This record gives sequence, C-alpha cells and structure tokens, in this order.
Amino acid sequence: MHEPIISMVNVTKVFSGPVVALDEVTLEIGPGEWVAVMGASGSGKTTLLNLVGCLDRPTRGRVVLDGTDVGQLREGQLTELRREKVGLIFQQFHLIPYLTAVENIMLAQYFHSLADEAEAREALARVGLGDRLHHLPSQLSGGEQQRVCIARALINQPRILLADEPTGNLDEANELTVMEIFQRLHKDGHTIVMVTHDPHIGMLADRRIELDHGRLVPVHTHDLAGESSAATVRS
Amino acid sequence: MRFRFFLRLVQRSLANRIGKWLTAVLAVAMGASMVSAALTLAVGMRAKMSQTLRAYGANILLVPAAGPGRAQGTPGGEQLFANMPDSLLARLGEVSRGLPLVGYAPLLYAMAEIGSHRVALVGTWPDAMRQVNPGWRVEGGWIKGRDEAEEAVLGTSVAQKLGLTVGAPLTLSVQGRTRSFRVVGILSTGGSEDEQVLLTLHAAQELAGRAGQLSLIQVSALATDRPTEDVTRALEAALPGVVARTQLRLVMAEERLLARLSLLLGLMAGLVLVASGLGVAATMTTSVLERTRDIGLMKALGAGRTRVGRLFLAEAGAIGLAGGLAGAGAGVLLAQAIARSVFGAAVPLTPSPVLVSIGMGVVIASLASLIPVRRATSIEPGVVLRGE
Repeated sequence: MHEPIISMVNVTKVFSGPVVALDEVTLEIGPGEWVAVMGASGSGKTTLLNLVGCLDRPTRGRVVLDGTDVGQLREGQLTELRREKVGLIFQQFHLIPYLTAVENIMLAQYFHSLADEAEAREALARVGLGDRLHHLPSQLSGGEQQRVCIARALINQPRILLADEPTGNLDEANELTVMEIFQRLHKDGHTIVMVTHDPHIGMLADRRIELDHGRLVPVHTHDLAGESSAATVRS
Repeated sequence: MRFRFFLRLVQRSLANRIGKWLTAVLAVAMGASMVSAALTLAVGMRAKMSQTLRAYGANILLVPAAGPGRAQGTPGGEQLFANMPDSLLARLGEVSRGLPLVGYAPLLYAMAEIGSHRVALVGTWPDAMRQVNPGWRVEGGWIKGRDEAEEAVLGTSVAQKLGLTVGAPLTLSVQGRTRSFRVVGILSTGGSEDEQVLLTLHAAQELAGRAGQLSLIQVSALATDRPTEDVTRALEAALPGVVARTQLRLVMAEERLLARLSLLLGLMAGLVLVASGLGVAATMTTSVLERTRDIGLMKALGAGRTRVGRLFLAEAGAIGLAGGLAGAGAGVLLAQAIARSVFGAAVPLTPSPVLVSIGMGVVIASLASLIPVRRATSIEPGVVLRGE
C-alpha cells in the first residue's frame, strides 16, 4: 500500500463545555482514495474534516497530511499547507456574495499565488459554467453555485479534496451532475474525503467510515445496499 | 495582477456596503473639515492679518529721536513739527531692499491758511502714500506725480467746511508765502486725513519754507516673514537719530484674536476627530461581525492574517481618503466663511492644510480600524465548516 496521504493517530478534539467532538480516532487514507465519512448529526464528521483540512488543531493525537505533522505547525505554516494541499467544497457553497462566479475563483487564486482570469474562466467552463462567468451567486441556481465552489476548490490543483455534504442542498438533477464531476476527479487521481448523510452517495466512494459520538464505528451495512463489509477501521 | 485583483476586491467590497460606509465617510469628513478649517485659518490668516494691517495703513512710523511722544494724527501744535532731514529717504531706500517693506511715505506737516480758515497741510509722495494706505477712498483723482506743483487733495471735512469740490481753485498761505493749487480729489479715510490738505512733499516744503525737511515717515512692513519688531530694530540701526514706532496695539489685537480662533478650532478639530474615529471603529466592527463567515472562508481558502488585515485596512484607508477629500473641501469653505465673518475678507488658499487634512482622514480611519481589523484577522477558518 502507498504511504497514506492523510493519517490520524488517536486524535481527540474537545470543545469548551467540555464537548468531546472526536474521541481517539485513528484513520489512514491513501493517495487517490475516495472516502465517504458518514454518521448522524453531531457525530463529529465536520470536526474530522476541519482537522484534516488544517482548519483546526487536535486537542490530542497526531494528524499527518502528506507527510507533514500538522500539530507541529504554526498558524501561518498551517495556512500555507492548507493553501497548497487542500481544496474545500461546502454544503452551503460559501461564495462571496458580491463577487461574480469568475471573481470567486480568482479569489482562491489570489490567496494561493496570482489571480489569472483566463485560467479561472477555463475552470468554470470545465464544470459547465462557461456562460455564467459574470453572474453573482444570487443569480445562479444551487447546482451552479456548487459547481463554482468545486471549480474554486480545484483551481490551485490541490492533492486533497474535502467536501462537506456537497449535494446536501441540491435537487436530484444537480446532485447527479455534481457527483459525475466527483467521479471524474476521482478518476483523475484526486484524494477525496466527503462527508455525506446519503448512503447512495456514500456508495460511490472507495471506502466508507462512520462516526458515532466522535468514535469510528463499523459501517451499518444494512444501510448500504449491496455493500458486504465494514470499512477499514482501526480505533 | 495581484495588486489589481486586490483593488478589485476592495472596490467590490466597498460598493457592496456603500450605505454603511457612507456613515463612516461622513464621520471622517467632519473631522477632516475641522482640521482643514483650523489649518487654513492658521496659515492663511497670518498672511491675511498682514494684508489687513496694510489696509489700515502704515504699521511703523519713523520719527525724530528727540521728537515728541505723539507721532500719529493731525499735528496739534508746533511741537509736532520736529524735523528730520529728507536725506534719510535715500538711506531708507537702500535699507529697504533687505527688509519686507510694502512701501514708505515721507510726511511734512505744517499749518496753512485758506482765507480765514487754518488747516493742517501735509506734504508727501502721492504715489507712496496710496501704496502705504490702500484702504483710502478718493473722490475724483489723485495727485499725478511727486513733482506736481499745482495739484492738491482735500480731506472731506476740509472740503465740506470750505465748500470746495473737485476742480475748484485753492489758494494756500503759510507765513506770508502764498501758492495757488487746483483741487483734484477729495479724500475720505475716517481718520485725521479728513481734516488735512495733501500736497506733494516738494510743494509743501517750498510753501512752508522748510526745504529738505520731514516730520515723519510712514512705513508699511509685511508681518508674515519677520516679526514687525525685527523690522523696527533694523530700521533704527540703519537710520541714526530716528525712532521706529510700531502700531503695536493693532498687531497684538489681531494676533490674540487669531491665536484664540486657532486654539478654538484646534480643540474642536481634536474632539471631532475623536468622534470620527469612534464612528469609523463602530462601522468597521459591525462590518467585521457581519462578514465573519466571509473572513472565515477567505482564511479557509488560504488567506493569512496579513492578507485579511490588509484588505480591511485598505477599505478603512479608502473611507479615510474619501472622508478626507470631502472634509478638506468643506473645511476650506468653512474657513472662508469664518474669515469673512470675523475678518471681513477671504483667506488665501494654500495646499498644505488640504493635504494635511486628507492625510489626517486616512490616518484616523486606519487607526480607528486597528481593533476591528485585529478581530477580523483572529477569526478562525473553521467557522465556515462548523456553520457558526
């Protein structure tokens, strides 16, 4: 097996309260792998995604991203690692409302290196939005906004894509379009970690993991038609 | 390209919240207008004060050192007719090149008779007299040159008393010497000149039988570059036997008024600037709170603290610049209004108060934004994914 691109060892995250959001989670994800993170609301899925995306630090344990121990990094280094390695896709899209579609893509380029409008236009064309470049988010449908979000996540060619319920706010037709894009990205070799409630979406992934009250548990196979075994879980 | 996109971001952000930013711009404009007005008055009125003094007349009198205490106004008796040699004028001409003098006019006083009336006679250089006293009003004309032997200007009171008008013949006698003149103008100053008859210096010396003599010299000096006291000291040093007297009361009254006005405006500017800063701080804090998710997103996309801080400081700077520009213009207008009502004339425009108030607007807006910007840079990117 390849060296894991994402590795979590006995990771615990405690929020003030105290609330244990993740409890001793150990997990490895290989390069090019598509992993679906499943579980009920409040089970710790988003916290896991935040830690993998260098958006947060663990209270205990180690998170290693593409060979770099995240816990050892200062804030600036963490930002740089995220900028270079991670693309983020959100359920709520999170586009800047006063920037056009192409400007939202350029924003990610600007924070990474240089804003290149031609490249941003191409990225939108690749997700089928070549004719929506100068539309504001409010002028786009949910599916279109999500495709802008995907184009933004991909613009700096990150090795890891983290998606938080990417189809959670989409109708069936748009869900299909977006999942086709994910399948294409997977085929192109991107590592994808996707939080989802939807077992059918989860089925598209190479592997499914399930969280319950912050702990990794065996996947409930009865929810996954045709699925025969639990995901590889070490806890 | 990076800077161009940065400007585009700032422009889009400002345009998106234009209504809210306008409040902050207005706050800065108020502060900047007070700074601009205070500085315009402080800088401009110094020059204006000098102009005003010149309009009132000479601000220095040169009199004989052994002369009487009274040195201004209509001579009230023989003791005022102390003499100075008119050769002093040549020396003064040399000295004046190194001093900030507007001009100087020699005066010879004598008492003359017009029929049965006694009047004060003044001989002078007509052109220099007008230069030193630009505020004088004259009906008719003025004596054409320093060598004009037959023209006279009457003070308005003398003209009324004698029933003389422009063009009328005039016969003057001093101690048996009689000369004929023609009235070319009637002078009205509201001062002692209204009681006098003006001739050229040469004509007066001849008529009074005091060739080569002067009573005093009126000097008009600019107070902008050097204090008037410096000029009087220099004149006394250069002209032996002469005392230079300053019209101190007028100078000091104007300076006190200007100092008080500047202090008042300075205090108001300080208070309004503090209020402006608080207004900007409140607007920026609200903006940061409302844009928490946007800031979190930017950081999630890889923006460091510096990038986020720079963005907000640029917005604050733009607000400061807009407010500074508006305030500087308003301040100049305010200064003109104050100058017109207090000094009765406009102040000259200088670029420094405008530039300083624009700069002040930018600095105040930026300083007031430091705490909100610090708050913005501290927002964690995780808020986006957590949905907080």
